[in-house]
Amino acid sequence: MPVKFKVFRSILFSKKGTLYVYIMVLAFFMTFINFKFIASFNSMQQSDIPDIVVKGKMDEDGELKYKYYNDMPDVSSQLRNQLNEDVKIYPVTARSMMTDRDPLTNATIEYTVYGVSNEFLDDVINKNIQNGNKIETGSHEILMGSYAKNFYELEIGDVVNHPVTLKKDWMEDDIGLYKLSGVLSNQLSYFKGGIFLSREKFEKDYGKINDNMIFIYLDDKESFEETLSLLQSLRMSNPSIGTISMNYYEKHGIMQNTILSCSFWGIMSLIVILLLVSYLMKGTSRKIGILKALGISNKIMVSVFNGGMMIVLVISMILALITTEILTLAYNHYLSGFYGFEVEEFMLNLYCVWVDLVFIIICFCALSIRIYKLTRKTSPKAAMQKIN
Amino acid sequence: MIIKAENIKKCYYTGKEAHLVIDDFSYTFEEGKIYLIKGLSGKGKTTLLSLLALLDDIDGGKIYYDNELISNANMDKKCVLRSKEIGIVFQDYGLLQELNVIENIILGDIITGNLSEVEALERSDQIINMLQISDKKNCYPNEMSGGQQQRVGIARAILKNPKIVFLDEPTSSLDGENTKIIVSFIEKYCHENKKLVIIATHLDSFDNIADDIIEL
Repeated sequence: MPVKFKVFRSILFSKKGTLYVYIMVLAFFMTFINFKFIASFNSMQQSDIPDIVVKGKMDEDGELKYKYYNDMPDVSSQLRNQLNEDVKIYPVTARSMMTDRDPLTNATIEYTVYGVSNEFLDDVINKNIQNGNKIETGSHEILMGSYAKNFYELEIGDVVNHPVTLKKDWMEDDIGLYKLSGVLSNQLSYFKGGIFLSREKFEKDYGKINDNMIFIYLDDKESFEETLSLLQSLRMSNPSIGTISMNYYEKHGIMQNTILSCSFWGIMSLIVILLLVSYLMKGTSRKIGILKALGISNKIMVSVFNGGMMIVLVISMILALITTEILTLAYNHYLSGFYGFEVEEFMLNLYCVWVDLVFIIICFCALSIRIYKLTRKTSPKAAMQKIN
Repeated sequence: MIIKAENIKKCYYTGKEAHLVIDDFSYTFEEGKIYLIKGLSGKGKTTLLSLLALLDDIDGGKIYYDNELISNANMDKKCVLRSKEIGIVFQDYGLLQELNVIENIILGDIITGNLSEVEALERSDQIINMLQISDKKNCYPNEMSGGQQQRVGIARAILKNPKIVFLDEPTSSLDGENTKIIVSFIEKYCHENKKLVIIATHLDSFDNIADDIIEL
């Protein structure tokens, strides 16, 4: 080990163990920030959440029935007529299978049958198939979200022994009609309890059905506000419209939230790291005084500390990246077991390296200033203090 | 090198109250000689040594190194002088506990760039031989006696072959045998190499080898 690093270690980390603890603490904070970032990054990937979801009114008793919501005939066509083509409107017929708790997050999961247009299947669903294939035109096939597939304990190609239909009430005949053709990726978390079938095919078999839900996708804030105000005015004249849920700001604010969240945890970690260094610096003035008495200038002293601190920070960063990689692999393995197919939901990516680099640069600068102040303030006469 | 002190003063403050520790001290220290600064505890021996070794600033008067006024020089200049021309031995040895003997001896000169690592290792080998601690070269300070640690401190101070060596109470916590070794080494080192040695002590161990004794 080079003498300079030994001197650095001797001054700040006089007990060998404290250096290892410090590296572990740093690595822990960086791993934590990496996970925060990966989780936020995952949310950013989930761009297929509808910006606005319009649902038909619930029944007066408020009880969730198989038909889910009341019909909203003509609402989607009215929207289509009055909004520009950039706003994508997908009418949906949804039926409620059941509601359950997510075993991973304890959030509510709604297992829902969605009768969607082929256009919606092509634009949103088909590009998010993790396992299996898209629905073959004209066939009795369905796609399922990962939770639904897991809940109903199905494999690709299995016949669904549950009532899958878009009729307002299901009958015994509706069981075993459909086959599972594919499972959706977890990136499409909004639809993880979803069961998708082609509405066109269903209408061909059973006749026309009405929408009770509309998914709206748009690109900009102006379109969002325009659509929202049109929906509000439609709701005044059309009592069939129930709730209007907005995901636009949440969806487009993810990046901002990621930066805010990572910055918050970064600052908290930095404060803890600085407090630790301040604690470690207690009682170091005599040692610094001795080095100064030996003729080591402030500049050289700061460079010794900076060099040592950089080594510690880089080692911590490497450890944090390795820990993150191991933990993501373990978590993905656990998720794969849970879903029953290979999942790579949490991935260490290049952005994590950048986040860690920014973190260690900020730490380095803050520590460097702290060390500079200490060495400047310490007089070489401190070397003459007697140890009692 | 000659050190000339002219009417130097040093005060310490406790609250607003000033205590004059060194008052109007004047003296000329010449090379090739050993000087003792003696006095009872609290008389300012270590303070005077710190001022002469440029570890602390004076509150009045002047200090010259080879006729160059040095007491007014900036920190960098004083630092260069300490690095190249001055060796200091501390009462409590001033060793870093986490470094072994050799590392403690060479660290200052390696870090400041006075000596290359090879040169420093070569010289430190010679010096620890002279100081009879070559068998301890890989030991850590806590594995050595006080006398051996003090010899490591001396080895570190003279590694760069400085013109002046300051020693603060070098034998105050040593036994008779270790004191003898250090006294005879200092005498030999000073007279053979024509170095200026200034020792602050309250003991009589160096009285026989001193060229002059300054009583405070």
